[in-house]
Amino acid sequence: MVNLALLVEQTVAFIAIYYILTAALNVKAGMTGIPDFGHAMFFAVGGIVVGNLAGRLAAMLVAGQLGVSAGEAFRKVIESNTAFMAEVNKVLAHSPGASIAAILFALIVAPVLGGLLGWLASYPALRLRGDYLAIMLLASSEALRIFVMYYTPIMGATPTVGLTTPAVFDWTGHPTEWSTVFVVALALLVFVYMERFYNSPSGRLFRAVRDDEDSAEAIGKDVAKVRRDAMIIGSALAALAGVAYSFNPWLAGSSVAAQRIFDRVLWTFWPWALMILGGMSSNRGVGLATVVVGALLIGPIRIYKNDLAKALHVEAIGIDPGNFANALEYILVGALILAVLFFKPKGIIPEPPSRTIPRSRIPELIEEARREQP
Amino acid sequence: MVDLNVFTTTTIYASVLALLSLGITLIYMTTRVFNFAHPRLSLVAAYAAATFMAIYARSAHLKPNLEPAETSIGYVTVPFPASFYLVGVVAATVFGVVAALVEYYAILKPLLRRGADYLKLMIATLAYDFILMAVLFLYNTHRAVKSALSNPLRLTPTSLSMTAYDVSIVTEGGTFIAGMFIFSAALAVALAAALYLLLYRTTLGVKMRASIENPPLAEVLGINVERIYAIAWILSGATAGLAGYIMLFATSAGSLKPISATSPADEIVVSAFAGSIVGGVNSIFGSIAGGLLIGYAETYVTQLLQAITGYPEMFQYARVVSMAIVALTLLFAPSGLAGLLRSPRARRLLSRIPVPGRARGGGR
Repeated sequence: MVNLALLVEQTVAFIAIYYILTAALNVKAGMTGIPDFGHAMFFAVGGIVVGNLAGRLAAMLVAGQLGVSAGEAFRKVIESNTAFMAEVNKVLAHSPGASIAAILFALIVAPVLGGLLGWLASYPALRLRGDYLAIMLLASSEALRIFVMYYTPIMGATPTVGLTTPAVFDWTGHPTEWSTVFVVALALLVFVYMERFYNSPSGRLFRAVRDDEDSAEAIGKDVAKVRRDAMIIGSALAALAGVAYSFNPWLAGSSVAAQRIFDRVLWTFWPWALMILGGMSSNRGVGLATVVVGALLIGPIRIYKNDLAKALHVEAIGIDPGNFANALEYILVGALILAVLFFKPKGIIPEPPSRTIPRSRIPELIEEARREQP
Repeated sequence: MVDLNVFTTTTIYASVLALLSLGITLIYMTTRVFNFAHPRLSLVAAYAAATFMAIYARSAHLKPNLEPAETSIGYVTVPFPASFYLVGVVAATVFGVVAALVEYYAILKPLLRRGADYLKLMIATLAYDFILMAVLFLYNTHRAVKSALSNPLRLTPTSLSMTAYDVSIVTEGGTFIAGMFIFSAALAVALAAALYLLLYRTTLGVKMRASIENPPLAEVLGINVERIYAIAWILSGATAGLAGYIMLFATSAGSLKPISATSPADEIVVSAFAGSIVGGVNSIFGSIAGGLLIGYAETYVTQLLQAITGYPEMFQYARVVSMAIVALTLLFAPSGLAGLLRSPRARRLLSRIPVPGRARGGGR
């Protein structure tokens, strides 16, 4: 039996995560024209911050109640992660202060670290053109995944299991609902920010650089700085999506593993598909595409694909139901991308024109400027 | 110092990378797109090869003969007659070509006609990659495929490896040499030679080079550029297929894992692109050299680093090494190995070496 409330809430959480992630990609790829095929690595920064740093902070804050020193708690989060975090999470369920501190910490640190990684990644972005850059970023993401996976101080001793995340919403009594509210609130904030950013002078400058670097340079704009800023903003937002995802017990489960948070299909190519479907550089298009695709495909399929395989009796024609479910998602994302490229290459809501000051107001503004400058 | 066993497995791995990089470069030079689906074509070919070999073995009532025979070069094990392996090579090549041509004619060509930019083309190759992966997911767990592959070859479709059925030689001194080592090394050399002859000694080669260098001018001269591009796709698909065939028999070589819908394509894709970029993306011979370089570097540079740092898990970081080589290439020699050879200083050095036919042939 389908639990409707569960389906709706999980789908909403998926939509919110994908909106933030796709909007982040849109700043880089849509607005500024940097083909970021390594988007997953910035998302992963959020997951690492939650699993490692926020986990350590939460453990240190509740160390007194567990009878260990703060330093010991700091070490034990990585050394004996699963056992120790289980104890920490029990205490966290009764300590709203430590939980909120961990959330706020992750919300501040993840975008900073994500932005820092974006800044580093912008160095090749300044030197390379189009397709070379795409390959470079894709390869960077893979290399970073391998590094993180086997570097025990970051991801613990068992790379396949990963790190248990701090259960920072347990104190509310309804962790899944509240973490979904948290994700949706973040997504709405990002939406409002993107709407304003798109029409701001820097948003227009980003698009000017994308359309014609030489003209932008000719009128004295620093192209290198624009590309760097776009990488920093987009990557910081992607890290934020990673935080929201990792804190959500429905989406991420109770742990973060490198294999999952660096997943190219989930965190690089799905956002690309959504962005192209919505319309590159079109914030409302991206929002609409995420809601439509999320509600119709991602949510229901990821949650109910196994039930669907059973309902269709795929085993009758010799297909393994478990793999049918996996294959279905890949076929759908592939077919969706191709359909958009063939029939709607500009997306469902093409890039809107910039909202500039109406012509009638310009004399007024000139008047104003004159008055201020006697 | 150099372990022969490590050397042979690395050579197999490096040849696979050389074949894949060559295919990627061929497509980039003609269609101007980095084909993300390329390593997946090898997996399709590997499954096709395994399936046809299994069907052939069953219908011809072949039983693997794993008893070594004593010969003058040592103990040679030939599990199956040559026709069995030939079936595999042909099936792998044909399916590699078919999968590549479907990609070109069904997806990329229509998109090119609609004026899609490089980003859209790249995304389209990704979409094709996903669809192929999904097809393989369905294929390798299908009941009929399971039963076909398990009898008589006893293969597991989700973790495909035919290493046990490879020809092997154990010399008098007790050295083990895999048949695939000889096959892959010979294939890489033969392919380079064949491509050289094709490109520089035939009319088709001249047409191909002209179409790559300047498509509109080539068209004006009456060369069917579209057909030349299709030939490039056929070559690319065939090399991907051969790489898949090698992977099938060499699943313990270097970083080659047993074949499934995702592995080893998902891991190898970075190294294959690295080989193509290090080779200089616009040079066919550069891509072969680049693939070999990356293949050997991933093993030997990691070994060296392990010896220096004493860190036992260093072998996990093989792909970080190839990534670092790509970064260095892009920053300091963006046109890759081929560009280094074409630099004025290298030209001056090379011109001192007497090579017969240089005056007539001439490099690009």
